[in-house]
Amino acid sequence: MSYGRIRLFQTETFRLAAIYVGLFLGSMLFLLAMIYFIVSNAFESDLLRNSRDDLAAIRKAYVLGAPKNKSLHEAKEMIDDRLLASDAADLFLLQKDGVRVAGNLPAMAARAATIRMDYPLLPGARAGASGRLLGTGEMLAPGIYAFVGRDLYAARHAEDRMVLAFAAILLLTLILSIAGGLVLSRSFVRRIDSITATCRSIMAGRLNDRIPVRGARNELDQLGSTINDMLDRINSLMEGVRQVSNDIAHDLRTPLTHLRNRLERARRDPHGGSGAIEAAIADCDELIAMFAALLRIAQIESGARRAGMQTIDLADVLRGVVTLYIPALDDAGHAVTADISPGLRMLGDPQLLFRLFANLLDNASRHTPRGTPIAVSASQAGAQARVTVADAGEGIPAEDRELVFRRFYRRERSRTTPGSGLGLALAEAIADLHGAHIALEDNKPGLRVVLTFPLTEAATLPRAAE
Amino acid sequence: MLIEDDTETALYVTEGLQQLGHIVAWASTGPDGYFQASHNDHEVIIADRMLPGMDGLTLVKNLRRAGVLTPVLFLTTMDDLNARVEGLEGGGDDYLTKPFAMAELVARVNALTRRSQHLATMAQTRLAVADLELDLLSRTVSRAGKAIELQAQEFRLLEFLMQNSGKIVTRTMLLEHVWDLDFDPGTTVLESHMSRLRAKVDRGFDCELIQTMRGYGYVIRPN
Repeated sequence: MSYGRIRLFQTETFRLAAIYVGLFLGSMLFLLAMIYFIVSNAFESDLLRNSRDDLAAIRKAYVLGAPKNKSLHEAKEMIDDRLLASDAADLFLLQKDGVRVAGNLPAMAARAATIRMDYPLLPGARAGASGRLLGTGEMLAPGIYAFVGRDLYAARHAEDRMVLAFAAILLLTLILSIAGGLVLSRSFVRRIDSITATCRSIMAGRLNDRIPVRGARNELDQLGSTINDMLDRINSLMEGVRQVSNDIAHDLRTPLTHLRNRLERARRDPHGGSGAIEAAIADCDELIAMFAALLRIAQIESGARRAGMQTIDLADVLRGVVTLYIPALDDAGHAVTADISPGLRMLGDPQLLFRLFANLLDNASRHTPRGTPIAVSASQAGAQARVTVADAGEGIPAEDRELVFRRFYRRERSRTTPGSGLGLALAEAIADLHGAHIALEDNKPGLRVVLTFPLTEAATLPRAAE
Repeated sequence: MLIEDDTETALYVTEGLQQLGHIVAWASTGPDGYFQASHNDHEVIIADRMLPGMDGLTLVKNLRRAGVLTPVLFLTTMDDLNARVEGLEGGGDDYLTKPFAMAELVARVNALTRRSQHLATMAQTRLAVADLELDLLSRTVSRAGKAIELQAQEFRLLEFLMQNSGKIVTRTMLLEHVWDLDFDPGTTVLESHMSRLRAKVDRGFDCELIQTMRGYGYVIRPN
């Protein structure tokens, strides 16, 4: 698989940063638009309020002039006064029957409402006047219409300035966001790149490289240290495989040689009866059993048997094994005592556990002389179950106790007793699968095998062996 | 009916069974085997799990769906217990891993044949061989009218022998059916149980019902 350089813009971090910036700008835009409309509205409301005030004053004048029959006159005066005091943005109109009586607007359709319309600019209009007004009008009396409005230039002006300001803000934000996004994603991508580079260097053969961990205790460090743990595990598995291959090659050569010898003898002496052939078949069976056990160990170590796990009572399994073996042990001259506390609930594979305990009992029987008693016990110790299989035989000296777990290991003394030497390796594999610890102790005298299993409340899936 | 694509194994099995008087039909591919198995009547079907064209498990599932009730013995190199359970749940009746001894194959094939008769005996609650009687409901055993005290394991052992009375059962079959073991727990375990059982069942009687067939297994039958 070839890897190419990924452009910054293709990275996931940049994409995420861009999305974030986009969302941020979007919300800013929305916010600014709201501000715009609110301010705009406020301006116009203000203008309208002024117009209404003026219109109210005109009405008042009209009403006041009524007793003297000078309503129209009063109103006109009011308008003229206002016009004198105003700038050309103020727009007034008083019309009677559609004919202008006062004001600086031409006659218009009489409507009692808020009106927004275009109007012809006046000669004295200030520079920048927009030609559009907002105002309000009402009927003072049948046929008498008054209207007050304001040019919208001020509002327009404010609106224009707002738009400019907001655009500048948005642009600035955009630039800063992009720059910030680039900087942040750069640093993140660099971190990821360093992880990738380390992995590639490991794949290229520098098997002891590890990902640098910054100690920041964040998710990147966690990723890095998890990958490092995985690499350590892989290393140890590979080492195990190397060791196993060596062991297998070494230790299978002997029985295979025996087999070949027997068959050769049978060939040399075809009339020698079926003895040699029977023995050869027996040798084959032994080899086949050895391979089957090796395969079983490999399956267990690879965790392939995890599917068989269920909630079981360890005491039941152990009792089953003991009742199975009692007659055979009895015949072989071993008295068996069992002290098993009930109710040791845990997560386990009953078939494998059965095999484990059977293994230990078989070992105890085979490696001790007639008359040696064997004691089996199981009890709860806190959150664990402690199982022991103890014999009062020769025992195993301290320096050998680690070695016996290796596949095919046979102590010199035991080389002549039957057995493939796989028993304890299988036992250890099964124990590991259950998250249990297996240890050999001095029974003073004899050997005591001690297993400690986690019970259900405390049970978790076993971690990769350290 | 043998469905096996490896010629060596096929010849081995065919010769072994023919020597004992069985007639063996042989197909070497999945579809071929399915065709023959579904169109002809056989006493037992021996099928390899790995077959070209249609794997053994699918073949048997299809046969069962087509209503073929012939007992099936699976052969396989797959040693995985999960594969075994899969095979038995998929419609197989027994499971044997290669390499196997001919005696083992023969014993299991015999146990599967005459299954209809076997089913009839399985529906019975009382088994009998000569003057030995076993009552499945009350879990009691008696010979010539006298009661015999058996432990739980001994009872199950005797039950299995009597259910296959007259047929040889191998060590592995006994270990599987009585203790649900998939491995050999050591040479003398079964023998010790057997000798205690025989002491209770046969001692003091003229006729030894439980017999050892060296190199093959055990059988219970009147002499």
